[in-house]
Amino acid sequence: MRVRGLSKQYGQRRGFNRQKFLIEALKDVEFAIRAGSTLALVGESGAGKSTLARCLARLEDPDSGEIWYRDKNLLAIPAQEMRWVRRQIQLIFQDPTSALNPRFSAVEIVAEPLAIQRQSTEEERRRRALEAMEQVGLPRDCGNKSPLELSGGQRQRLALARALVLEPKFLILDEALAGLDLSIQAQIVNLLLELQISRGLTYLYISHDLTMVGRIADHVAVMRDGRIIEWSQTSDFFTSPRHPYTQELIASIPRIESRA
Amino acid sequence: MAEPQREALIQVRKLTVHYTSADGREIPALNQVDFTIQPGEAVGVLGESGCGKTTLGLSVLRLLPASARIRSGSVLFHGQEILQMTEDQLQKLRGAEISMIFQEPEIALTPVMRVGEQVVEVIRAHRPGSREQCRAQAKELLSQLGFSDADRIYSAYPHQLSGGQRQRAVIAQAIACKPSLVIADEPTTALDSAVQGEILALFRHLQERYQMALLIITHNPAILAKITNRVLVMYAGRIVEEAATSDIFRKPLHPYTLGLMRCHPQLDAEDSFGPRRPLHSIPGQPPEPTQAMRGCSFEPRCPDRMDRCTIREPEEVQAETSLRVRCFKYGG
Repeated sequence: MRVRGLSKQYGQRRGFNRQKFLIEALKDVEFAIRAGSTLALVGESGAGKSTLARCLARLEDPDSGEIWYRDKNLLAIPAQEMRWVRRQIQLIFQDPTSALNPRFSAVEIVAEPLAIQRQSTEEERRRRALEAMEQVGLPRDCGNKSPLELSGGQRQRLALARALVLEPKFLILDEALAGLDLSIQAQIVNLLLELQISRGLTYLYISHDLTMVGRIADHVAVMRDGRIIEWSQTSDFFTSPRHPYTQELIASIPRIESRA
Repeated sequence: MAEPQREALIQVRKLTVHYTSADGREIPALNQVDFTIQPGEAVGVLGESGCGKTTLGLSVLRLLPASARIRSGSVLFHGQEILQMTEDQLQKLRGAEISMIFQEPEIALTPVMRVGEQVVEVIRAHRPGSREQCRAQAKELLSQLGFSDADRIYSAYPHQLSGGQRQRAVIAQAIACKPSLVIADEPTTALDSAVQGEILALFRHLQERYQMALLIITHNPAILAKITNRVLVMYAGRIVEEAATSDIFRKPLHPYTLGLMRCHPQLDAEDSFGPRRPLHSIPGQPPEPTQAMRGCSFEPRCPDRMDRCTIREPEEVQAETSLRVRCFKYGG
C-alpha cells in the first residue's frame, strides 16, 4: 500500500455565532507499506492515527490525496470493485464489545461478513466461520454463546476471526490490544505473527505501547498533529530517533529495571 | 482479633469477599487476603482482570457494589475497624484520610462543573474554611501538580482538557485533603505512553513530598517498577507472592509472577527489536471464578506443575527473596 498527499479536515461549529472552525486531522500524509510487513503507527491521542485508519479502510473519505493498494487507487475505483477492496482490507478496533452485535451468537457474527459478501451457502458460511474461530484459538463451545458471555480476550479473538474469515491481505489494528491483559496480549500477538508468516498478511499496527511496537514492527511511523514526522526502521526508531518528539516518546517508555 | 504488631496504616486480615450473580450463584472474588501498608509506603497490586485486585481496592474504602458481600475478615485503618464503621464515619474517612483514583478520569469528574470547583468541593467537604480560602488552596494545588496555567485549568470544564490533564485534575481532587493513603486503580492505563510517564513521575513526587502511602493496582508490571516499594501479586482471588519491588523484578519466584514479567517484551534485553519472534505468553486463561478448585488455582497453566499441585493448595511460605510465596516449589 502506498499513500500520497492524504489530507482530511473536519468542520466543527463552535460558540454562540456558530462560526465554522476547521480541524486538520490529516495533513499531506505519505507512506508505504511493503506486502507482508508490519508498519507501526504511533503518536499521542488526537494525532490523527484513527482518522488515517478509517480513511485507509475506506470508512471515511479524505479530502485529497491518493491511496494505492496493489496498483489500484482506492479513491477512484468503480463501486463494484469496492466489494473486493472490503474483502482485502479489514479494520479491528480497540473495543471489541461495541463492534460485536450482542443479539448474534459468536458463529453468526463471524459468518456475517461472508453473507454480506454474498458468498456460498449458509451451511458453508457456518463451516468457514467455525474454521476461522478455531484458527484464532477460540474454544469450540463458544460458537453458540453471545459475545457478552465471552471474556475480553475471547471477544478480541472473535473480532479477529470475523476479520479473517474473508481471507484479507491487509489488517489495520487500531489499538486492538489495548485494555487486554498482558498474557492475553502476548497470546494474540503470537497469533498475529503466525498468521503473517502463514498467509503473508500485511499489518498497520496502531498503538501507543512502544515496547510491543519494538517487537513486532518492521517500520515505525510517528504521527503528530496530522502529519507523519518520522518514519524509520524499528531498530533506528529506538536507537537513533531523530525528531525531538520521537526522542521524548522513547524516553517516556516505562522500563523494568534490568533483571539479572 | 489480633492486635497489629506495628502501627500499620492499613492492616487487612483474612478478607474474603463474594459476589452474588443475577441467578443467585456465589462468586468468590477475594479468598483470605492478608496484607499491610505502612505509613508513607507505596505498594503495588499486580494481577490480571478478574483476579480480584479491583475488589481489593474497593473493599478498603467499603465502596463495593450491592452484589458483593464481605464474608469474613477485617480491614484496620490505624487500628480502627473499617468494616464496622457507620456511613457517617466512612464519609469522614473517604477523601480525607483515604482517597481513590479510578482508571477513567472522564467518569470521576462531572462534566457540568468547572474543574477547580470540583477540587474545592472536596476540600469544603472535609476542611473548615471560607469558599475563598478553599479556592486559593485549589489553585495552589493545581499549580503544584504541574499545571503552569492553573487559572485556566481551574475554570475549564473537563471536556476542554486532555486525558492527561483530566487525570491530573482527578489526582488534585484525591490529594486535596492530604490523605494518608491514596488507592489508584489502573491510573495510567487509559493514557498515552508519554502522558503515562508524566503521571507516574507525579505520583512519585507527591508520595515523597507528602509522605502519603500509595496502593497502585495494575496489570502492567512496568508501572510498578519505579514507584513502589513492595508488590503483591494476585491470582484468582489470592495473593500468590509478595516481595520488595527490586526483588520481584530481579527474581520473581512464583511461576505466575515469572510468566507475567516475561509477557511484556523488554526493550533493554538483548533481543529487543526485530519483528516476528514470538513473545513469551502464559497459555490458557485464568479459571472461571465459579469453578471450584481443589489444588493450586494456577496449576492448569503452570509450566512447573507437579503431582501434588492438584491435590491441595500450597500454603504461604517465606522463601529466598520473597516475603511470601504460595507454591510447592518453595515448600508450602
